[in-house]
Amino acid sequence: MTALLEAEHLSKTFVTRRNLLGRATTTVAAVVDFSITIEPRQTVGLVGESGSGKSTVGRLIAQLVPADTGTVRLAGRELSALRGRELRVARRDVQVVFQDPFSSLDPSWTIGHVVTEGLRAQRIANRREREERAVELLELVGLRSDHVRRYPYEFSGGQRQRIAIARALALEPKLLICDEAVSALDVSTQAAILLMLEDLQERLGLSYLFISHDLSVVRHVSDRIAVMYLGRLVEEGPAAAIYEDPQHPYTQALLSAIPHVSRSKARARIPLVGDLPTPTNPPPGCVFHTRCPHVMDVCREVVPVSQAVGARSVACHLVSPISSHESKEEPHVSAQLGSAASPEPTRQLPEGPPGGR
Amino acid sequence: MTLNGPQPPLLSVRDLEVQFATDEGMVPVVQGVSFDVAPGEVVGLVGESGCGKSVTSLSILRLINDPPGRITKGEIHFDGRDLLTLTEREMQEIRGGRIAMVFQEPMTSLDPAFTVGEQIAATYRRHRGGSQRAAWARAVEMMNLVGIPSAHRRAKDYPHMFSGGMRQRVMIAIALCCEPPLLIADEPTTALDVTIQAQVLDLLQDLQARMGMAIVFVTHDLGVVSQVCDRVVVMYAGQVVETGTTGPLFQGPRHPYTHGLLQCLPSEHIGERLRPIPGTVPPPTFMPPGCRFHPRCPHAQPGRCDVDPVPLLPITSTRSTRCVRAEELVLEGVPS
Repeated sequence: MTALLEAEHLSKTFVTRRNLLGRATTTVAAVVDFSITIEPRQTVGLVGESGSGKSTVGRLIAQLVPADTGTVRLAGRELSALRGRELRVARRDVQVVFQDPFSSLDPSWTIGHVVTEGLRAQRIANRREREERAVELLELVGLRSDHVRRYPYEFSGGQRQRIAIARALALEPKLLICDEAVSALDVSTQAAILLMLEDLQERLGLSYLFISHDLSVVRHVSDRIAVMYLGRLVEEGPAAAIYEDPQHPYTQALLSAIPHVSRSKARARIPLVGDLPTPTNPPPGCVFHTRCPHVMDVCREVVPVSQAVGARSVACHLVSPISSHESKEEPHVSAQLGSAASPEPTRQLPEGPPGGR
Repeated sequence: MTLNGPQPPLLSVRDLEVQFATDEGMVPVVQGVSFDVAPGEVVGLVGESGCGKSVTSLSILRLINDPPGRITKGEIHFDGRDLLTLTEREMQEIRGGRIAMVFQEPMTSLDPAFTVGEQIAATYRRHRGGSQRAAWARAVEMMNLVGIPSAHRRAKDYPHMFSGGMRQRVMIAIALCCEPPLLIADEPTTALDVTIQAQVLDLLQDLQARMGMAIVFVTHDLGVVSQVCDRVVVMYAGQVVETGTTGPLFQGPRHPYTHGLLQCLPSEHIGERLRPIPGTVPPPTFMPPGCRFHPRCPHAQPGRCDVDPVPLLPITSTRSTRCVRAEELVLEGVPS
């Protein structure tokens, strides 16, 4: 099976302040060397806390902001190389649903006008066809055909998010990027939208990049999960494996922080001290080392390289002692963590065994 | 931490009704709300947007703006007095001194023009008096207590110099500096990232254990409730629909709405199809007759559920529910 989306080595740095001469003085490395693959009909969840760069990844893939480096290939075609008309046509295949359905819908447009905006921009249907299509789209997302002539203020948050999804589906995309698409909704509305997204995926053969800070929601909808921290991918793999047996200390801490209703499902808490470091001045070495409960000397100096471990990849010095080509078995970090408190100071390259094993 | 026995409740809300002005006139958004909070008890007030949980919590401190809102009925007993009969001046002594409040968004609750130390000290002096120096020392002590590193130095910093999690710690320091017997926390961790939320919840639980205050914890997050609350009050469409001890309530809900909420949680139903509650919350201007949940309830029966208003009735010594079919229905909860 050829991948639908292959994003490789994406990096994006934003300039937040310039001096008098227009030279950048403060920059934020929002995304650093990020790669991800999405198969047809697959849902990949992208999780991380505020400032992790997960939304920027979505925007880079949708070509809403240009990447500094890296490539985005959709169905084998490189999007970042396209310009003008070709790019406009290619954009049909990737659509985005944003978090806030109150600010993403123009209050002065009728719903019919809103959901067919893409068709007008792409000039692919006449007025009559657009009106028919608007009705089809609203019915697809569980709204009524007579809603076409109404305005956004007449709808609840959940209904607005259905409208935003209908708008995104108008161009029959192959990949739908849901950027915190259910985060602002109440649990019962959220469940209804998640259910609808699952049904749409089945009927239309969509792939999703599901960006969220909520690991429970991501686990529920995703086939694979990618975890980001301060612009870097720290762990990626099958959803069940990531959720049941996280390998990166950050993923472990993140999962342990989820409050569960069923107390038996709650994990032993791994408290993280301190706040997220500022992305304008990220720590050297592993960016997580300032909060990591298992920090070793090597973590403060050497950037961990993402290693394939079975079906997943992990960027952590604790996981990389055995290089992947020597052994395919998954090292059990959790068993090792106790002894990691007294590491040997090493300065070896990330490929080499940094000790502790 | 529930204290049983003949001890009177610290807070007792009785038959509270709050109305708001709409285009269709004054409309009740909270109606017949009653619940008790024992000294040192942590009670969760839960429900979805518009259920009236925030209006209820604001009413306790009489912080409902009039107009558009007005408390039209009920009693709120605290410390042996009905807060609804006090003068505004007497209420000012209660607010911050005897009952403190922490809101969702710490940045809008802090004054950007004063250092956080000044803001904590001002609250302390307002209620406890004493010298500037003593109040400042108390501010630094409180910042230490809520886990702000180098509190001595950071007390001189302005709110914008703190992260979201640290600002919420400052808010908690302000709220608790006079050691109030009751804290009202309205979605205090909702705006925070999950790892920071965990830190702030740990802090609140630790301080609650040390200082022994009662907490009314207003939230939509059932996971947070399960973690921190002794007892839960579930609200729907302006009414209390079920109350009970936290564990048993989630393991065996007795109201179809509580059951419906639990069925919607992705975290509790990994690998299963979610079962959302059909329909939407009715607007306060158009409440259905009978049980307010009946149009969305899979167990509703014509003639029984859609005629007369349903009272909140005790079904065990610790559980009350507002459902005429409570004794017949067997509703699945989540494992303990």
